[in-house]
Amino acid sequence: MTSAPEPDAAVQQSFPTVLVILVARGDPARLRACLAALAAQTYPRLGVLAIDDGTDDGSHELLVRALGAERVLRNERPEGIARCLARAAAAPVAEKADHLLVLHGDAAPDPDAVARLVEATAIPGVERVGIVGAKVVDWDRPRVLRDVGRSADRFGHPFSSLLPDELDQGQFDRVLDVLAVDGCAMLVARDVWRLLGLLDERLDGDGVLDLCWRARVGGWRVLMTPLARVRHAGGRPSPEHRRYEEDRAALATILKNYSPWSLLAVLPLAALLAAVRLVFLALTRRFEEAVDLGRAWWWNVVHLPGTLARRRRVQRSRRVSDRALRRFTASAGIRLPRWFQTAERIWEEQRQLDEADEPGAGGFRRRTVSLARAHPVVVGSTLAGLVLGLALRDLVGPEPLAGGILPAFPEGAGPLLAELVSATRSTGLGGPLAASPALAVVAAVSAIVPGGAAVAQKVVLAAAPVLSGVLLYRAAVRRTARPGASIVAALAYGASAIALWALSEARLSTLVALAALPPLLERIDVAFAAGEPRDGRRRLAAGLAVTLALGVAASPGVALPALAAIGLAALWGPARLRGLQVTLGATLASAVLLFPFVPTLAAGGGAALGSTVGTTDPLAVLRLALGPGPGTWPPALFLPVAAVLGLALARGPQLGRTWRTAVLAVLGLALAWASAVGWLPPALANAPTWGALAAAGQAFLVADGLASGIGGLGREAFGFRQIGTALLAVVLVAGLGLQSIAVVLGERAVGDPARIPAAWAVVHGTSEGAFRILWLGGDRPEPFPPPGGDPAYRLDAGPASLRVGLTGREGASILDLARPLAGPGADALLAALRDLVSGSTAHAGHALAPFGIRYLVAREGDLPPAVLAVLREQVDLDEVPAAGLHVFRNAAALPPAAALQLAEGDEPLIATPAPRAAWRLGSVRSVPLAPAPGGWAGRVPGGSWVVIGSEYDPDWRLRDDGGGSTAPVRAFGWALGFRPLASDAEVRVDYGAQLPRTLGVGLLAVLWAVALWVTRRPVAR
Amino acid sequence: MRRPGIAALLLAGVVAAGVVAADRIGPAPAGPALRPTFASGAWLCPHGGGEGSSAAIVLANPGDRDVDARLTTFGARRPSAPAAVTVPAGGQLVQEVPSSERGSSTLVETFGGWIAAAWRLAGADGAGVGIEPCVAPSPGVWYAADVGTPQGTQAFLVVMNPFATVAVVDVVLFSADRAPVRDAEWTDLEIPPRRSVALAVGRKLLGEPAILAQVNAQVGRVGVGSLVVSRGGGLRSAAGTTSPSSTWYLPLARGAGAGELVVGVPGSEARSVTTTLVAAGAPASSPTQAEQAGTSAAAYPLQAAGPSAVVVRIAGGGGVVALRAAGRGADDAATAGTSGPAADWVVPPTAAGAAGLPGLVVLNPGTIEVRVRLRLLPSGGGDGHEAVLRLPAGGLAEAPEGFLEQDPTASVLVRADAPVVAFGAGRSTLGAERYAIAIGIPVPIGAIE
Repeated sequence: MTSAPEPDAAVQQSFPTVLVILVARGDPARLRACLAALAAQTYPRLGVLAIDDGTDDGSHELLVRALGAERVLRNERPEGIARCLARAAAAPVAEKADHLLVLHGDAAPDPDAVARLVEATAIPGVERVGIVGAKVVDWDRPRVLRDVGRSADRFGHPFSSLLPDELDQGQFDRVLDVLAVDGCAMLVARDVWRLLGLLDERLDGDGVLDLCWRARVGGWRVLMTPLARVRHAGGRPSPEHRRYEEDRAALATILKNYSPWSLLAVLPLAALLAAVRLVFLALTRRFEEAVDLGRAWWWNVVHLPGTLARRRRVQRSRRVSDRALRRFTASAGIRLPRWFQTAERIWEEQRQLDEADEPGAGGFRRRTVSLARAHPVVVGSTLAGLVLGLALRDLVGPEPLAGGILPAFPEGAGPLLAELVSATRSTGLGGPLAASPALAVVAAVSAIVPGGAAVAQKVVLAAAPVLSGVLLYRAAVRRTARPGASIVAALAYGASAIALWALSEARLSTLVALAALPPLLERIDVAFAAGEPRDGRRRLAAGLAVTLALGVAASPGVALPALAAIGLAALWGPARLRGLQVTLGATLASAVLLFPFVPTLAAGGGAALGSTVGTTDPLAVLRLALGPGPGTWPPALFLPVAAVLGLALARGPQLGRTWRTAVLAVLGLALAWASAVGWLPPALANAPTWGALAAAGQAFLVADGLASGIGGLGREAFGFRQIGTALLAVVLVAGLGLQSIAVVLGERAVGDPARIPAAWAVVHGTSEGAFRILWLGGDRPEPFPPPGGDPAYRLDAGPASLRVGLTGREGASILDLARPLAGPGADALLAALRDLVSGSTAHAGHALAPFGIRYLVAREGDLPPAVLAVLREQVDLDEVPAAGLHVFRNAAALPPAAALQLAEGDEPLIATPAPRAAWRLGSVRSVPLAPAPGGWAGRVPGGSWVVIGSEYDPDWRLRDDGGGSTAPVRAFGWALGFRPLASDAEVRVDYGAQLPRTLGVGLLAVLWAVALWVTRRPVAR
Repeated sequence: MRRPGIAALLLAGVVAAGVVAADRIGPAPAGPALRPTFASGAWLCPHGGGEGSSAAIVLANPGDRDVDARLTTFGARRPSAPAAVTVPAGGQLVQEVPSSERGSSTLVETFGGWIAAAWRLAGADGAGVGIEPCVAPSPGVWYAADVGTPQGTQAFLVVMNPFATVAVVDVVLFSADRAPVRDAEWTDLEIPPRRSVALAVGRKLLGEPAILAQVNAQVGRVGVGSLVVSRGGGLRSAAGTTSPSSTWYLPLARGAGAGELVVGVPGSEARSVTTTLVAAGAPASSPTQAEQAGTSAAAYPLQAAGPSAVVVRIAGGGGVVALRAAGRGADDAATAGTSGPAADWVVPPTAAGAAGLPGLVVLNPGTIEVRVRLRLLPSGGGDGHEAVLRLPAGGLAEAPEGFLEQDPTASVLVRADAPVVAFGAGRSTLGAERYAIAIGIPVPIGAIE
């Protein structure tokens, strides 16, 4: 190609010179087409200067052959578009050109494109046109629009109004005044680039918006002319860092181009939104995007001097206020793209339907159906949100929650983290059982949420049902590929009796099980499915391990249905060997992710896996009503009935999986009942978790049935499918409606502090100092009155069988999440209780004194009469009048940690290994020791034994203010005791072997970071 | 299309059948009841006292291991320092306790096994003696039926609160003809923790030969006994009860043969009271029946020719009884009786001193002949003497002659093949004629081999 001959003056005036700066970055085939397109241009005063940006694929030779060596500049290595343009603009030939046309080597303009671009600079009445862009279409599919001009949000992110793969139907065929154009074919007036420069070299190709915005600030117009059409292949840099480059450029753009006042308003908001996005990306395991976001901001911090220098240049050239440019900014300011855009789209659709439709009920019904059909997820989520909002109305307000089995949350994240890291347990009867790693999540919530423990409780309780619904939906979508069917299944799941019961009573473990089981079951199905997992076996196993570990951390019983599902799939699934490899690998990996917690899970013969609550009524189990609460009434049968109908309607190649799910659901029901009535060993008896398995299975059956039933009904002859589908719809609508009514109108167990029995004040309000409470109940699988929580143990004593729990003075604590009452201390306590209920002792108070128990509490009418009679016969237990409760005060109670001044002759009773020795203790004067970080501290009279109701461990030490250190002895056969000091002293009791646990928790954190990184979600495009 | 539907229906049918089966199967059977080991226990001994009186607690250990005990005595002031003792296996220990106050009482705590406890209270100068088994701690309403206030007697309710919290009691007195007496002073009466008081019944209701006292602990718990001191130094002592019953067994032996049965009916409805005397070697007497009004106490005279037991049946509901037996001297005896037969008993010694004339009576209320073994539990333990009785159905027998005399101060272990009732009745003729009767203490099943 050669340049055109010099025109005469008239031609010069009507045809300003255009220098095409052609940037070639590879792809010789398209470059050839681009050169041919340039050669075919009709515009007369056109010159070309090409830059080869470090290509090695023959592009350079092609350029030289076409343009001549004097018209081709070459970079030895790729420098980027911005630097190429800067080099070209510095060439003498560029000085003389009236316009520069930036053209990418993979863009092919139509023959009249350049002429049309130039034409747009001289539209009558349109002055100071600085930049003109073309209508850009797809190279391979020229009917598909790629760019017709852009706007941006207030935070500098480019925004295009084009829909994906939108066809060119002439809808944008008018010259548009825009904020920015596509840089692949962009005509820039000389005045603009000489004053403002071209692309910011630091931003490379992402600097086009910035250049156009600068032009706008400088008072120039930026136009898109549809008459100039350019085909563009649009090669982009590596997709891994697209977000980084976008965010980096956006921030740099607003830093340069906004006025000081605008920047003052926008920048803090941008920072806040970035922080929120960062948290959201981290929580959704999109770590790479989170890192990109952080890097983008950091880049701007590091390059701030350069940005400020460029800003000064821009602001000096300002001729237009930011207010005047506001019309070019898009409405999606908060950048929740999918939700906002979907909402806007729905609004627009409904508005159009409204205009087109006739008024009246028929129109409304049609619009409702069309809305539900077109956007089932949005509709379903909105309805669920409304009902859930009403269900959780008690959570609104400053008052702390109480009632149900809601555990007490400590103030702040500190105590939670301290418990997590501590080598000894600060609750129960002490001992080495590690706290649940789930406390880390609770600590994070407590740290982030302002308002203290009361608000943290509410956040956790409100998030749990939302999470279970979302996870069921996502698992169902992966299972059926039908969003509509999945959202209905998720709604049914959330409206199930077990979910509502768990929410009513604040059963965090059950809520976690309800959230964890759907993805677990779905992933197990995938592991055993006929085809290879789409994500690969390793990623599948890693994801399964993380989900299992998260679930087991907060609800150890989740392991039971998971293992049941694995076992069933191993017997029945298509790919048994692969499935076993993946699931067993995942199980081992989850054990590694919970390694400090594994001994806790195994303690007491697996007591952590079991639960002592449920219902013995088979009909109640059938409808998953494991306890009282709104929505546990007979209409809750809608879910199992719908599941049966769904099973009947399901068809297709996945029928085997559907039937496995049905078997699991039935198994869950049977085991939930068997757990509550005592036919299972304690480690396997967990009615809530088995019930959650049944609920998840039933919800999946609903999804499968709907997915099979709805599609293609119109093509089949009328028969069972149509009737079945209609029945299913009726059952679901009626069930969801009735459950919603129950939820809205019913009273939950958790609510304001009035949920606590008034008699609780007898225990909590009138006593000082630290003490423990022993909760007792009859042999029914029910929780204790609040705040006693769930029973920790069932004492089998024939007709005098009891349920037992032990708490501090505040009642059940979140620190005991998923942690059983097990160990030598618990064994000693149970032995003392066996002595009590068997009538073997009249000194139960003394027997319970070493455990720090000051009160025994039971619901009125709940104790077996024989046990109540025995309690009333104890010489050292005094019943305190308390309406609604039986409260016994222990006259022989000892503080959980104290210095004891014993009666003469009683000293041997402390160090004897016989636990019953405590019964003989005479009068004891006690001086309590106060809890201190890592132990206890206080002033101890000389000659006093220090006895602490915490399991003996030789690594405890008593240090006195004289520098002495005393090793412990076993007190009462199980507890910590320290022999008397000679004189009064300030002492501190602490644990000397904390380091291994600290290192272990550190290693655990690293393992989780690795696991979350391995299972991170791919970068979203 | 139909097969999945049918299969689904079948599965639903299986589930429904499962529900029915589950309903029928029901819960897993509970494990066996835990057997008590009697590792510790407690007795309340509201023995009373007074100036010049002396009290002792008789601790009898029928088992094969030594048992430790701790005795703490209460009164209106601070409790005494606890006394720790060891009761030898197969023997007894008699521990003196303070009794200078009318309201004196003692708490006995036992460790390491089961032992029986009874109190023995002797009046000033030893003129009278009262012996009665101690009672187990029990909440609720107490009754004492031997607090009548005829001329020449002073009756006291001994109310003890050995526990750590205050007790608040209401006392109501029932008599034969008057309305129940609820005195303001004895309503919401606070008994401080670890204190014991004596309430003079005569200050509230005088001149009534039969009075039933009801002590209702609204708050806390108490133990109740009665103490009656008569002119001439006679002394009667009886334990209270918390369990009105429709059948009672009481002894009438070794005294003058005359006695008075006091029946208290705390309920509002009238009762039919049937009394039968069972004598040794003779058929049971014809029952005598009387109607008694509700909320009343009545006295029924008795006369026995020889060692006898009184069987009282109260139809239409429960009642409370006490037996006042006339001694041959100025001292009478009393007991609250027992409402239930048992296979094993420990009968405390009812004769004071080595010169006493102890007596023991065993009643077989059943319908078959019973073989009864007797074993002495002497102070200091050791192998006690043994004897065997055979009791016909419905019959009564005394201990073989000479058996008790081998150690008049020893307790007696009574072991039968079937439930029986064992009583003690004894006299002491050293100085004044003293007379005491006491019901035995049933041994809980499993407490001894």
